[in-house]
This record gives sequence, structure tokens and C-alpha cells, in this order.
Amino acid sequence: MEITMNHGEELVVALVGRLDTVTSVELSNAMNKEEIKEAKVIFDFKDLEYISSAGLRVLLAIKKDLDDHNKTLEIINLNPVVKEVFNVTGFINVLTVK
Amino acid sequence: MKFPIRFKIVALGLLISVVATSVGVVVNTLNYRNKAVDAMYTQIKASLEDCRINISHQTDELNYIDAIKATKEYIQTQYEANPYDPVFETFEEQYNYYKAKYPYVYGPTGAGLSLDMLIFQNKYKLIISLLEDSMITSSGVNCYLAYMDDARSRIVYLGDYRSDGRITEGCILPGSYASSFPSYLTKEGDYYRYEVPSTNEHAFALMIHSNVDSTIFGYIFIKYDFTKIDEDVNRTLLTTILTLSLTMLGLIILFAILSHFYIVRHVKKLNDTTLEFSNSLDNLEDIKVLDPKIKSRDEIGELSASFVKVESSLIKYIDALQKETHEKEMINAELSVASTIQLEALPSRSFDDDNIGLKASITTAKEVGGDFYDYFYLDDNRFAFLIADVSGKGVPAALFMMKAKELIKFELSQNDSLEQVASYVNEALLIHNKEGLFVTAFIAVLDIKNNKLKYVNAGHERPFLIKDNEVTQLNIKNNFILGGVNGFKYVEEEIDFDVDTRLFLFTDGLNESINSKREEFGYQNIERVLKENASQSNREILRIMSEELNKHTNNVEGFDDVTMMMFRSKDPKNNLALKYLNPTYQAIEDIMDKFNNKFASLSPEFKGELGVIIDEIINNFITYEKRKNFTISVLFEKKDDLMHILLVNNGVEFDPTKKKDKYIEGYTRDLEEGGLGITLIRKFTSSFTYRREDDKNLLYLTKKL
Repeated sequence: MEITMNHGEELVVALVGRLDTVTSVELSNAMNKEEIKEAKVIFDFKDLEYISSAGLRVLLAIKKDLDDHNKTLEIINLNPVVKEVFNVTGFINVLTVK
Repeated sequence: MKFPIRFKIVALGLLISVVATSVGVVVNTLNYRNKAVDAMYTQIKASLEDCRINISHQTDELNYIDAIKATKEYIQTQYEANPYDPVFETFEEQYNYYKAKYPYVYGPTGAGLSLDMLIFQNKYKLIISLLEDSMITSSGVNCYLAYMDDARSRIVYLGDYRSDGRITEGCILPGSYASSFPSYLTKEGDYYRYEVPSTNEHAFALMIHSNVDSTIFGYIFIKYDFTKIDEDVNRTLLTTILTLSLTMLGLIILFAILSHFYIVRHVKKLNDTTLEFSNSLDNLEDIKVLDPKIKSRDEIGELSASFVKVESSLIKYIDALQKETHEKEMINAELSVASTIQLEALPSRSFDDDNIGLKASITTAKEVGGDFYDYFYLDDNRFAFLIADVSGKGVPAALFMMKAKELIKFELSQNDSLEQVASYVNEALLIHNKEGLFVTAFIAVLDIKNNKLKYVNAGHERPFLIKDNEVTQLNIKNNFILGGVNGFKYVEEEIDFDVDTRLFLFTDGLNESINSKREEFGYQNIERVLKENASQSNREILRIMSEELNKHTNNVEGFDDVTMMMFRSKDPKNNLALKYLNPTYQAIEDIMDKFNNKFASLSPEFKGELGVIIDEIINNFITYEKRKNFTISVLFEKKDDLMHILLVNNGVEFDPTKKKDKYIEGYTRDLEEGGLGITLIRKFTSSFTYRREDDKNLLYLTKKL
């Protein structure tokens, strides 16, 4: 999985590939390493093939962490599979999706 | 409750002594009393004799006879004149009555003495003195004179030694009478004797008769008190009881001591030894003969010797039994190892790659059996598989089977021609085969590139072919068994074998399995089950076939091994088979890369959803399993409008289909996101089932394309 961080007014994190058991650890590590000055983090899922429950777990952890630092999280460009995962699990009620 | 022998002996002794003492006392007392009475009688008789002589002597001198005669005549006259006295209330009344009736005897009343009365009284005094004299001579307690009124059965009293003007209460009143007296009398020589009823007094009556004509005038009665005798008897009784009791007690104690010395202590020793011996049986290694060491030359000593004999026999028996058991255990253990080695010599019960699907099952009737199957690639395009059955059972069959299996494999690797393979194996098996063992076998090789199957059947059951849901038993040349006759020419055959064609191979243990009515399972049932389940997977068909077989035999134990194999040629375009030994999570990426590569034309949505399913399941498999040789295999097959997915692992039993769905209603700070995987799997599949089979977890899923 490719992870690209674009710093600016907001931090835009673009994910390419799958967010699953293996790659969710990569994302978690990348986010922990990254110095985030922006008040808002946007995950761009345009090129994300799918997300499994392991990916959801990492997203929740990231949200909790950002909350602690009074930052907001937003997810954009969900493909139908990811959207379905969010809907089925109820994560649509947890994360801000645009 | 315990009753030691000592107590029993003492109790029995006490009982015996009580009885013996009682009998002794009764006998002794009676005896003693009789003797005492006899002695007294002898003494009395002597006294009475003295008395009689005295009387006789005196009557000669002093004319006592005359006095007695006169007294009797006087009282008899008055008595006969009025023989029935009234009933007296007081002594005074009685005394006055008799005084009036017998004035001569009782003395004058009012007027002075007449001469007659004076003469009579002198005579009466003589009588009284005679009685008194007799009383003294005889040592009696009482002495009186009476005569018999035979007509009225009465004894009429004439006087008491105390009645000479001294008549007081307690005296016998002259003129009074007693009824029924004679009935008590017993004649004993010159006197009568009687025991006065309800007293201890014995009375003796001496007849007074005339010296001239023996006329009986009357009787002198002398009474004796026997109370003293009874006192003597009682004293003797007490002494007897004491003596007897003490003697008995002594004997009991002696007996108890003797019984302890001769019996009880030996029995206790024997008992202790027996207990010690039986305790030592808990640890058979330390068991040895224990001697109670009882040296007495009696039955107890014999018992002790017998006990030692029993012990040594028992030890011998236990030794023999242990040896036998040990040998049996060894044999069983060795057979078990042999069975394991044999079964491990067979390749895995299932094999899958993109071209081949194979599932086998083997059930041995004995610890080690003669059935076997084998399969292997000869090269990239040729896959060999075979099923065989060795004649006979048990260890010889098993050893022969190993030999046959290796021979066939070797010859297959060396020869293209199955005819040659069969020939060479046949020749090789005939060497050094005194037992005359042989093998039936169906050996086949699939040419994957050209979809051709060639085979040789050496006297084996003909397999069933399943194609396009049609089931037929191969009509092929049977040839002869392997290891039968030298130089047999085997004939091989070849058929088209397109993808998705299947072959069901089996040994005769299947069709020849009988039920309690001795009906065989038969080819018809095999064909029926195959037809009914033609669309099922290899694994399912074998499972159902086993179920049907069990239903048929209904637990009648099989005599023969049952081996089955489902072979299938797969279309590599629609099949993907993957296998991982001790996988890491990286396997998930590998599976999805290979899947996406093989099924590239599928929509991104399908691939995405399948990715989620695979990630959830494989993650679950790996996270909860830590064993060595943990294997995961994944089979994908695209068929009609479905993707079939079979995931198998050899981990601990775990059924994920039992988990409930989860849905998160909203965000909270302490939100837990576990348990969502199962929700996603259900959402993204058409079916999702679990089965535990052959110690494996099987997850079977389908997903609409």
C-alpha cells in the first residue's frame, strides 16, 4: 500500500491499494511518525481498493488520537466497497465521511 | 462391631457355669436334704425306741395302761354323747365349753371334788407325767395323747404334756378333735409318721396297746421341728454355689488364657500377615512371600503353612500375568506404531492444485491393513494415481503393501507404458513370495495437457466415471492380479478425460460391506450415491458415501478395509489452489495477489469484497493458532455464476459462523470495534458454512459473481 501525505491547510493522506491486516499496521506506523500541525486530517480513499475490519480498527485509533489533540478527521472519495463496509458495520456513524 | 474370640469363650463359659452351678446346686441340695432328713429320722427313731421302752417299762410298774384306758373311756363317753362341737370364737369360749363337757379332766367347777373325780384326776396326772417324760426322752417339741375315732375319721385328743392344770392358749385341749387326720399317717414299723401340712414339723405317733391282748388304746404323738435341717440345707447351698462359681470362674479364665495362647494369638498373627500381604499387592514389584511363622503343630499351624503356599502360588500367577500383559501391550504398541507408519506412508488424504482435485479416505478393519492408494506428478503434465488392495490382512498384508507401493511408484517413474509397469511389478512381487500374497490395483496416469487418461486395471474393482452429472462404471479390461502368475501380459487402455471429469475409485471393502442381513452395499448403492451427489465436491461425495455405508452396515463391524478416492481434473482457468505452512499475515496479500492475477476480469467491487472476506478469515485463522505445522489451504473455483471458496486449517476446533453480527450505532470515546469481521463476511457472501472434519476446520463460502 502506498501512503502519501500532503501537508497544507489540511493534512491530506492518500491511500493506494488495500487497507487490511498487513497494511493497517503500515498506516498506523506512518501516522504515528508524522508530525501533524494541521487542525484537520483528510483521508483520501480514491485509490483504496477495500478496507477490512483491521483497517477500521486503525482508523478508529487515529480518530481517538486526533480527538485528543483537538483535531478533526474526514474521509473522502469512498469507493462502493468501502462505503458498503462503513454502512454494514455502522462506521458511517463513527467517522465523518464526505 | 467386633467380637473377639476371647470374649466369646468367656461368654460361653459363663453360660455353661451358670447352668452347671444351677444343676449342681439343685442336685446337691436335694441330696443333702434327704440325707439330713434320714439322719434325723434315725436319731428320732432311736429316741422313740427309748421312749417306747420307757413307756412299756412304766406301764408295767405303774399301771399306766389303766390310767390311759380310764381317760380314754371317760373322754370317749362324753365325746360320743355329743360328738359335734360348736364353732368357737375365742379360746376362752372353747375352754369353758370343754370344761363343762369334760369336768373330770378340767377340774371341778363350783362344788367340791367327788371321789370318782379324785381317782380320775390322779390317773390323768399319771398320763401327763408320762407324756412329759416321753417329751424329755424323745427331744421333741410337742407331745400329746389321742385316739382314733375311725367312724368319723377324726383324731380325738386326750391330753397334752402341758395340760396338767396349766392349760393355756396354744395347748391341745383334751376332748377336742381334728378331722381327716389319719389320711396323713404313714405306718413305719411300730409308729406312724406324718408331716404337718404347711409347717416344718414332723409328727410321730407311737401306738399304746395292752400288753395282754394288743388292744390299742391310743397314740402318743411327738412332734419334731425340722426347721434346723432347712437352715443347714440353705447354708450348704450357699457354700456349694460359692465353691462352684469360683471353680467355674477359674476354669473360664484358664480357658481364655489357653485359647489366647493356642488360637487367638496365632489367628491374629495370620490376620496381620494376610493384611500385610494384601497391602503389598498394591506395589507388585515389591511383592514377596510373607510367613506368619506359626509353629504350632495343630490345625492353625497347617492353616499357616497353607497360607504361605497360597501366597507363593499367587505371586507366581501374578508374575505370569504381568509378563503376559506386558507382552500383549508391547505387541499392541508395536502394531499401533506399524499402523501409524503404514498410514503415514500414504500421501495426504487430499490434494489440490489448479489442475487436480483429489480426496481419499481409508478405514482399516484391523490395526494394520492391506489397502493403499498413491498419487504423484510424474512430470509437469502427467499425474499418476492409483488404488490397490493386498490379499490377506494384518502384519503380513501390511508388509507386502509397503513393498508393492514402492515397487509401483518406482516402475511408474521408470516406464511410460502402464503395461510394462504392471508386468514388472507382477514379476517383482512373485519373487520371494512363499505366502502367495498378491495385489489388485487400478493404476492411472492423467495427461493434463491433452486431457487423456490411461490406465491399467490389475484385477481391481472398476471405478465409476462422473461426467456432466452422468455416472457410469468404467467398462474396462480387468487383466489379472499383480503377483499372480509369471509372464502375464497386461493391457492398458486410454480414454478422453476432459476438465471437470471425475473418477471414483474404491476397494472391495466398500461394495462388499454387509449389514446384519448379510446384504452387500453393492455397486447399485455406490452408483446411486454418486448420481444423487454428482454436483457436490469430492470431499462431500466421500463424506456422504461413508455416511451411506454406515447407514447400511448399521455398526456391523467391517471385515475388510474400505478405501475410496475421488479424482477430478480441474480447469486451471477457473481454479486456484493455494497452501501455506505456518503462514504469517503476509499470506493474505499473497492470496489476494494470486486471486486478482488469475481472475483479473472480475469487477473491482467483487475483488474488493473478496479481499475483505479473505482478510477477515485468514486474520482470524492465524491470530488464534500457535501450533507447529499449522497449515492453511485455500481453494477458489469459478463455476456457473458463483465463486466457491473453501478454506481449510488444521487448527483447534473453531466455528466462526456461531458469532453474532455487530453494528456500531455511534461514536463514544471507549468504543470497541471488535467482532465486525463476521458481519462483513456474512454481508459479502451468498453462503457461509462451517464443518469440522478429519481434525480440520473447513469453511465453505460462495459468492455471487
